Amino acid sequence: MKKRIIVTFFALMIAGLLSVPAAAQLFTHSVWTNNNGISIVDASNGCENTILEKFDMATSWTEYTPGYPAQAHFRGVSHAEGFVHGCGPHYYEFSLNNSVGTDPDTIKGYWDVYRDGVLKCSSCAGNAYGVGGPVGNNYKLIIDDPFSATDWAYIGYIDQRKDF
Amino acid sequence: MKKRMFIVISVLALAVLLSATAIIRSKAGIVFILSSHSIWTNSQGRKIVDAQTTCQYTSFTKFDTITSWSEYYTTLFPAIAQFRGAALAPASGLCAAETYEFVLMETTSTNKKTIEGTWNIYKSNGLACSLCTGAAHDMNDPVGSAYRVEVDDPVYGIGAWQYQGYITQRKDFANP
Repeated sequence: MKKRIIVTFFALMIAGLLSVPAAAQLFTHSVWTNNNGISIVDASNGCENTILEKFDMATSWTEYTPGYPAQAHFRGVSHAEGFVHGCGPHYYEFSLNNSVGTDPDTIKGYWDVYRDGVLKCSSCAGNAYGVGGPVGNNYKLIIDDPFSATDWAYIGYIDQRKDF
Repeated sequence: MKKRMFIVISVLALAVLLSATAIIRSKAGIVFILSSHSIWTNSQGRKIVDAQTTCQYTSFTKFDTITSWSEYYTTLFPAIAQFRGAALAPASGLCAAETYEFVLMETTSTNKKTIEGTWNIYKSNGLACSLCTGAAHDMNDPVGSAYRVEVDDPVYGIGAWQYQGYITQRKDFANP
């Protein structure tokens, strides 16, 4: 008898758990940057590029809720002039491979960094911070390079956003 | 000996494959970077078809879509995409008022106009289709055009669920 109660209790608990994500309120966000970059830090040569000829970014993500994976897309591309000796010019590309967590302001995951079409950091752990800010604010994508003391960074302005 | 030869050839073939795809250059020697896209719909809904009731809704109290994706090219550029559309359809005729959500759960491939993957469909907050195969089509058209998401239902058939909206805003970029 006791066993049956326990089994029933667990079955109810699991049912309760499963019904939560179905009723969960999802929030979705998107941010665009239209040629309005601030800085790109190159972890492989230590250069901080602030003269960016082109700087585009499109991201969208839905906040993580139980039963729903952290689904996100993020890609930023830019051409850095690199006027400092040994710093460029280079094309940079920051692309989200796999997201592991999202909230209103952050996208956590694994990223690929390409420079001039060559993969410089493969599936490196990093976070995009500040993507929940209003138009005119900036966001920072910081990526940990296992072979460098410097982090990769892709910092730009929020030019347009949509949330629902 | 034969085995070793085979391994060496395989490794070399793999190395050639990887070096060929890591640097993608056009004939003019320009580094080719794949395009990214994003589309928003702000209340401009076109049509939702409910597979369970066969109801077709064409007017909406609320209709929002956010999607962004990068084009897929070999394993080095995995197909990565996000898509979520949510709408509130008021009652019409014999069809009751419902909310619908079309959520991309996993992406299997992308190109400039299509996102293929598995989708969850929520109807008035209940899961109505779980990890169902489907695709978003006509995503490369200009602002004002319509795109459509068609999702297969294991019971009600191929493309039984539909979510169609107009492109209110779009952003596309390729080579920096």
